[in-house]
Amino acid sequence: MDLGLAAQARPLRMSPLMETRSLADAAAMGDADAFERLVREHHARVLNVAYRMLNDEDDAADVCQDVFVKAFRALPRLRDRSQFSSWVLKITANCARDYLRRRRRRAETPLEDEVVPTVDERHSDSAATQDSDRIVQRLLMGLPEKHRIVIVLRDIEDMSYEEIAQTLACTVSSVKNRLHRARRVFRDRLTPYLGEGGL
Amino acid sequence: MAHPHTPLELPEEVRAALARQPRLEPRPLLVAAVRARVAPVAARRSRRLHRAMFRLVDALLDGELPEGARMALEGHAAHCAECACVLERARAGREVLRGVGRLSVSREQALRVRLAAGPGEGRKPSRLPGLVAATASVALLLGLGARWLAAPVPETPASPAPLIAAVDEAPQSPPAGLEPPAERELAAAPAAKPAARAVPVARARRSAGRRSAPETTRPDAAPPSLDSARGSAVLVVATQPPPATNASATPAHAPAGPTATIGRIDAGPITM
Repeated sequence: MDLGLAAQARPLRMSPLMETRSLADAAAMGDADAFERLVREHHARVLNVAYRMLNDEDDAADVCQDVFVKAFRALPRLRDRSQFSSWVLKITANCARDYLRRRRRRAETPLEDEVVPTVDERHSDSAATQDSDRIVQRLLMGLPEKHRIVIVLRDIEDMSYEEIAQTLACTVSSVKNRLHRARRVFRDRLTPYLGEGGL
Repeated sequence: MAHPHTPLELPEEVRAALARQPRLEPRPLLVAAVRARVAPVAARRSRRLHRAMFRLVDALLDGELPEGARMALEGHAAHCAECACVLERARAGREVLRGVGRLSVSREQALRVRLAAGPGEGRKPSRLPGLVAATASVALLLGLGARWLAAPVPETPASPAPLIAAVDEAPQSPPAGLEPPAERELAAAPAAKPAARAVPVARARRSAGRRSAPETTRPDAAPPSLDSARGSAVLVVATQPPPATNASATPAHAPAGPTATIGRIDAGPITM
């Protein structure tokens, strides 16, 4: 009898997917604590994806906030709430894309897409700062958006092809193609830094 | 058929038995024929793997390839310098991307605070403190101005004649029925001292002159209309109790109550 009671008293451990689903269900019913837990679990990933897409911490924080506000409002309409993570990252990708478009329209910053750093920049960068993170971010910003998001989700956030396809609403083959092209361009541009031993 | 690159491992006794056997001479034509058939196949396979290495190197590093394809590609890279270089570059780029840092915790904490503030409140600062400060400033200025206008000032011996003349030219009483209640109360009350009445008139005129109303400071200015007097009287009543209740202090030549009140605010309409 004691063993049975002890077993009953022991809390059941749910898998992360089930836990995310139960939290999302509770948050969809209006449970603010459940949504706060979801935010705590996901905000680091959302923030980093937004930062890698936007190359600005403040903009990334703004996008991150918008993402969770939108997620909170749209959560009751989410059918499969076990896919909350990829859904939030999908919102992140869309928000970052919109933010980039607005920024481009306002022309606050120069257009960074499709801009390849020149040789002089490469040499001065590696000789002066040796900041690998900054170099990587600059190389990432030189990729097109749809390639950048794929390489960020796969190589930085370590998501599988299927998760990326679900997040970006495309096929796995498309993910592979984009990833292959993105990595090829990234490797080509990274090679001078590797040759100098800067990274 | 053993792999051409793996050495054939035989037990010692088998090797000894083979060594005792008479060695067969290979037939050159047969060997050439076999090589002619095998070599193109091997070359084609190598070229195919070589092309596939450029295409599948990412899938190879991601572990997405089946075991046979992975072994074939790695076996090819072991002998092809170009493919080995491609594989090495891909590994290096992958390591670089995986080694990038993440945003600091302080940013995340700041985000949490902003999220706790609710949707939409993180960007727009609240207007309430500004409104409270503006309202308090206006109220303070009004109070100080009214106190300054109504404060008793020490008696001055000689007042400018035009100012007193203007007071004397003030209407004695408004028409019946249009008299505001405040003025009626003041009319019933005893009048203030004449000197103490004249100086506030000058002060009010000076302040009115500073408020860009030069015609009101002229000695021959027209008497104020009832509307302007009434509006100013409301302001005085609202900020100051009725002037004096001491009947003994009222001189004999002092005008009636309404004249004193209107004379005090005779400087024209005080706009707010």
